[in-house]
Amino acid sequence: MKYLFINIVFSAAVVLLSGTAAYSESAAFGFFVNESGNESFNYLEKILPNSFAGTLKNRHNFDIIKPAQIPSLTFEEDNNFKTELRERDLKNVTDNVSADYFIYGTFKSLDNNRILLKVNVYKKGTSSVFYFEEIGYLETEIFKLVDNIALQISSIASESAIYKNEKITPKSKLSILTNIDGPDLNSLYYEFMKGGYRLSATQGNSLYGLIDDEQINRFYHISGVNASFHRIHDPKEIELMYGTWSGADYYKSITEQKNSYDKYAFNYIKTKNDVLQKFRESGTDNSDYLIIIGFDCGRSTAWVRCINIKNNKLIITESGIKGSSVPEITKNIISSLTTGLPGTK
Amino acid sequence: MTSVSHLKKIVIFILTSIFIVSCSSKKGLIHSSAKLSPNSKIAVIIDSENNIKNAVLITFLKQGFRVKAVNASDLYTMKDVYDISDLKKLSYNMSDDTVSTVQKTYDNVYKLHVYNFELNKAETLKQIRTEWDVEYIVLIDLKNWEKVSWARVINLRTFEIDFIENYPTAYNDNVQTITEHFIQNITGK
Repeated sequence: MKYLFINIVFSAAVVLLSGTAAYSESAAFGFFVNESGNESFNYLEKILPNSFAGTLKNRHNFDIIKPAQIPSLTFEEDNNFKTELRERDLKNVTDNVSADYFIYGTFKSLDNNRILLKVNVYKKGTSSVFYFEEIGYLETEIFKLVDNIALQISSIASESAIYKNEKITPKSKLSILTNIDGPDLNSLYYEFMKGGYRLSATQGNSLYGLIDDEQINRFYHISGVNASFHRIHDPKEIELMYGTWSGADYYKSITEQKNSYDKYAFNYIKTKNDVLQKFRESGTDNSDYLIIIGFDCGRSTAWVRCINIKNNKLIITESGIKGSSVPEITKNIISSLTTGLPGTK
Repeated sequence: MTSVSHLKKIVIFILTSIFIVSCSSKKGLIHSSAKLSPNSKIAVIIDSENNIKNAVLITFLKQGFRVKAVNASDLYTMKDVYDISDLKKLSYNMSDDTVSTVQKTYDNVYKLHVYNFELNKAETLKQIRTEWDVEYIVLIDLKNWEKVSWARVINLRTFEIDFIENYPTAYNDNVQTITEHFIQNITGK
């Protein structure tokens, strides 16, 4: 019996300590392609990824691989490869890259010495990409921009996949979509109301919830005008063949299918913008934010996504928020919504 | 102290934790942003047999509320007319596909459907406010002993949730006592 007790204690210690073991994420960088139409900015194509890589290594403990260390990228540099890196090519490009994440993007010079950066973070072996934009100033302010982007990358390239660019202050009006209802939904609302938030009657105006534990995961991927966490799509996957052999009815059917994919997959952000526009103009609800919360079946973890309804920007994502009950998880979600990225104030 | 007594303590600790967690899910809670005047114009939404529905409405009427005939004008309850859970399975559950673009399309159609559905509900609430002259929607779900009855009040002027309460139903509670309890907290009187 004594040995049994020692075994239990030892096993518990191993479980606890294993959670605190040090682990470095690894990231490989592709080039950041100059989309300015001005060759004088070409020097940034290598400097930007190298700067992000250096900051991630020195400040965020990442193991990094710079673009020059990836033979496929450097080899094809003069072969227009840089400008043609498409999401559907990511699996092939990263096949021989020994890193957890692959990061690449583009940049464009703007007026007033500003620069727009578009950053893609691909987790190797998955079929999703996290994309976000940042605008900053060149020259002396470039270091600040590099630090900001490195911080965003390190947060996205983590188990919780955290992205934040805005805090939600109390008194904001929130529309919440989630997969709980009845007293559980009340207990979620309670925490938000206690925190000083105003709650829209969205979903709360029904006796029963319509979104179940499986359906809420359709909201796991989300897009805004400034950032998105999306599935990689490939128009080539869809075979909509037609030709002189196809009759009028068949052609009509194919065209309808093509329009559906255009509307709901390839140009989804525009379609969604139109819906949100209707929401804003209906005059029935003047919410500031749409918050989507997905609880797991056991109600022990949740993920959260937040859209600013006024400008359709994706402002917060976080997964793996833990707690022993719906109220405790909700408290942790509110804490996440009201604070900056880990390591910032 | 022997290892047996240690084990006993561990087992007792685990059982106590489970008990506390199960109790916390049935804990009562209440939050109110604004109190309702007893002569407010309300619509009570409740999915129960009509005799129970009547008992709830009578309790509100006795307190002076002007109860509009929304949801009370039906001869049938919601569940008699259609089963929501069947409907959603028919409408939403499409077969999974390994093709990423197809899956993305399915997901996005579903998302837009939910957004539009919520938009339509908001439009309906607007109609209830303007055409039925209702100021507040009161949602009530009554449950038996050891379960949680709950209520929610929606202000149709602001489309905001003004009041929520989870009330663990007591052994000696009935429809009237639970409704009176909610009314007391909704009005603050």
